[in-house]
Amino acid sequence: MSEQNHSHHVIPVAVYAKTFIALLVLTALTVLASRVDLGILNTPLALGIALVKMSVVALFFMGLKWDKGISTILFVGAGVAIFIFMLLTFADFSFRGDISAEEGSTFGIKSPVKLVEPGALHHGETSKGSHH
Amino acid sequence: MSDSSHVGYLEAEKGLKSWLFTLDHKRIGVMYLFTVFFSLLLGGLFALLLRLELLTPTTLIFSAKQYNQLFTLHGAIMVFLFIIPSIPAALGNFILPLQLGAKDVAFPRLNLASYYIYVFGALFSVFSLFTGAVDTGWTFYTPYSVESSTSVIAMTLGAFIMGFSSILTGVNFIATIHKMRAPGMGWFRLPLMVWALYATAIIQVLATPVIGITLLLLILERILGVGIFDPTLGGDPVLFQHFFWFYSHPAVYIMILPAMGIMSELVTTFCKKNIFGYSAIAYSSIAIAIISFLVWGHHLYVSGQSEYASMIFSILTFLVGIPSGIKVFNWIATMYKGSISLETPFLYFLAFIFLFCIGGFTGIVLGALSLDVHMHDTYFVVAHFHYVMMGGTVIAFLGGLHYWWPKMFGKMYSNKWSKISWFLIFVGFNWVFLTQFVLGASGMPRRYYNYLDQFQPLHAFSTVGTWVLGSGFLIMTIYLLHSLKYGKVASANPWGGITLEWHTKGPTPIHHNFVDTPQVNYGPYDYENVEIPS
Amino acid sequence: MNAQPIELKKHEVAHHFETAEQEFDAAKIGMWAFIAQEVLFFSALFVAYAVMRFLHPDMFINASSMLSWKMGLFNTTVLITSSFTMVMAVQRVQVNKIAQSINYLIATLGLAGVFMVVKYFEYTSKFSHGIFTTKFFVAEGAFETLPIFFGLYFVATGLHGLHIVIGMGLIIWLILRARKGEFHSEYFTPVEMVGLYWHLVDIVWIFLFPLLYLL
Repeated sequence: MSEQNHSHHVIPVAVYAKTFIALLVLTALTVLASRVDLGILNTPLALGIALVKMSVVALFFMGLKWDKGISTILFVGAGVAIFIFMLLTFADFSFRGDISAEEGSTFGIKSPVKLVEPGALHHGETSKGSHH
Repeated sequence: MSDSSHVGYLEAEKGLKSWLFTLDHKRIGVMYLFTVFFSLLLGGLFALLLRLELLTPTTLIFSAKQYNQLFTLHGAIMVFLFIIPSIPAALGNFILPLQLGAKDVAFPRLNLASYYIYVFGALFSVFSLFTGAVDTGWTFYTPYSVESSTSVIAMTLGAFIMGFSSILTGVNFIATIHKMRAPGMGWFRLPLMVWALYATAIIQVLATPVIGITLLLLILERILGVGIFDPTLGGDPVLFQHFFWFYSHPAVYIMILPAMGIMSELVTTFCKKNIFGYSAIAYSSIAIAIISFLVWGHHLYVSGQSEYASMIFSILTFLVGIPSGIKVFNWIATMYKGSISLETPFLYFLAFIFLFCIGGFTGIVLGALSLDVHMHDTYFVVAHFHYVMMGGTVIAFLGGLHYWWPKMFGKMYSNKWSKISWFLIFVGFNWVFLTQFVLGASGMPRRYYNYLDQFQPLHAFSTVGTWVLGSGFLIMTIYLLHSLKYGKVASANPWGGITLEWHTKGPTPIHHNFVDTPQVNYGPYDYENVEIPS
Repeated sequence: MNAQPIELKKHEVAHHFETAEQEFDAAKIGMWAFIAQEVLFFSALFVAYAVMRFLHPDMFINASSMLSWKMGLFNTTVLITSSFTMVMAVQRVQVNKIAQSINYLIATLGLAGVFMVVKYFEYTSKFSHGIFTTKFFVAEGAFETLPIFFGLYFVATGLHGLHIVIGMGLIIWLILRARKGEFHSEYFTPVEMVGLYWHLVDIVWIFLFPLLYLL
């Protein structure tokens, strides 16, 4: 019942204040990085900073640093599930049509959807497109 | 042991209100049980009607659209209203705290809420019956589900809501298993049913939200035209299939994992023997839960998915066979030199082993990319997943129901009729679905309303089998309901089980399960050291 | 506004738990499991974003530049600040400074309100330019017929906004209970749990901001 029995000791305010400042700095960094054209590197850099920010929030604000292992397992497990979701979905989208060359030559897009005439999509021939 | 002051949880409080607002996990489990059993009968009725239509190659009673609506409702009701909540929410709710030696689940109010969320979602789905029943198939594939004029929104909203019920049950079970175990019950003294429910809960928590967002995106696609699934707006309909199966393949393991848990309970109790390979069975449950997230693409072999993805998914699919095989071998090894008693629940165990092996092996066949391209969307697939879902999960559910029935209601059902009904279900099931393997292999596509004349003999044969199967279920419903009122009062431990639920006094457990919190000193199936409670 | 000191009420451990510690730990595990499901709930939106960006990269770059990154930056700062005030509310209740804790909760609520107001102005300015979800999109743009970006933008920010609104409701509930003296150093489970939820909503925005506004 007593306080020290709680898995949870009180964290000093200074820790939270430093975390807050770190998050503001990282936010400024992500905006600055996006204003510079780094070519292909912009996206991974932005995601990298976001991942760092997420870790900072999870470790300090959400207290994973001081928490029981199962909380971390659940949180990291959710992250791994997203990674698998992303990875295996892209196993499809990145290589679609790579083996059967015929698909690419029909209308030049990597899509399983066969259009009878290219361009039909834009001219409201289907009921869905009629308002364009 | 029996004491006259014992008041079982059923008698502890009276009146409708004491049920509707109960926080007792046992009563919530019983409410789930009646709701899912009703859904099973409703879904079964649709199945009988479907098969009746297929008696002849041409139109018999239904129009083509009505036929589409029937198979959609059969699938959606069986999957979302019955199988998903059947073992975890109905039997699991009742049995999990008892097996842990706990007074209740960790969050009793959340538990009741998840029941009402389930009922609310189920009502949405039933409501869709009367507003132009859905005809898309239970998978709601785009782009047709975006265009269909039937009430796709009501049905998907229902499934979306029921998904939350499933998630909350999973959250509740994870916290319960971590924090509510009796003193002395370490992770490797947990009954294997608990391990199975734990693995199930992981999938419920990590996979179910994806179907939630997917169905929500489908609804928004219909209302707002978001454009990610609709090819006329530049979206990709196969993306929907990825999203759908990212949940719905793991969902297959939400169905089968707790069924496997029940099997471990049945085999030890009715062989009076410690389980063979406890940790192998426990870890294989977790392994199945993890692998379940890696295989969804085997539903997309012929959907225009990239061939490389298909190859990767095909290889990963074969992995599922390993932990499943480990379990089957361990169960069979447990039976070796056991003192086997052929009570009704154990008959269901035997039926499960037989049917699940057929379902599992044909799953490997279908997982093989080269074969599946030919078998896809034929009756071979229909037969395969019925062998796993019905031959696996439903048979295990019935086995568990017959095993725990005396503990749930304090009454015994008719021994004779339960065996007759088991026989009819076992024979009827194989009659219906073995036939469909042959039909599928000879080229009969699934979901077809009319078919070529050459398939009629097999179709008619399969249809007759459904009547045998249906009569088995009818008999079961009658004798189970009959036993509630007229059944013999059961003893506290009719089967001689030694897991903690059989240590409760009296036919049914008291309101808070145990008079004194049990102390656990041995493994769950240690028949050499634990005295069988009377 | 909290002139007289709040009288603290002793917390009763629910009947099915042995100790307060067991009760707190169970709630925490349950909350983290719930957070895991929230993460997966948003995951499909991120996968959809990645796939659609992969299929139509130019459309995404073009559409993204139509959003005001300054408004996004402002809202990001607001949300991070609210995360800080939330964690302070938890910290204050742990040391029995209930009045301060309530003030931090009110600050969090106010910041959440600011976020929603900014969101409202962003939405209405988009609507006034004819920017709707894909099917109803009428704005001028380089990719007139393929504005899937905005379909995803509205769904993702809409669902995130819904989470903010739910969080605001939860914070109001906390304030009311805290005023009755129900939370103190011996019992602060609901404050901590809502805090975890609030940080999660922040984390989702941490990813949405660069993906929608910057890239």
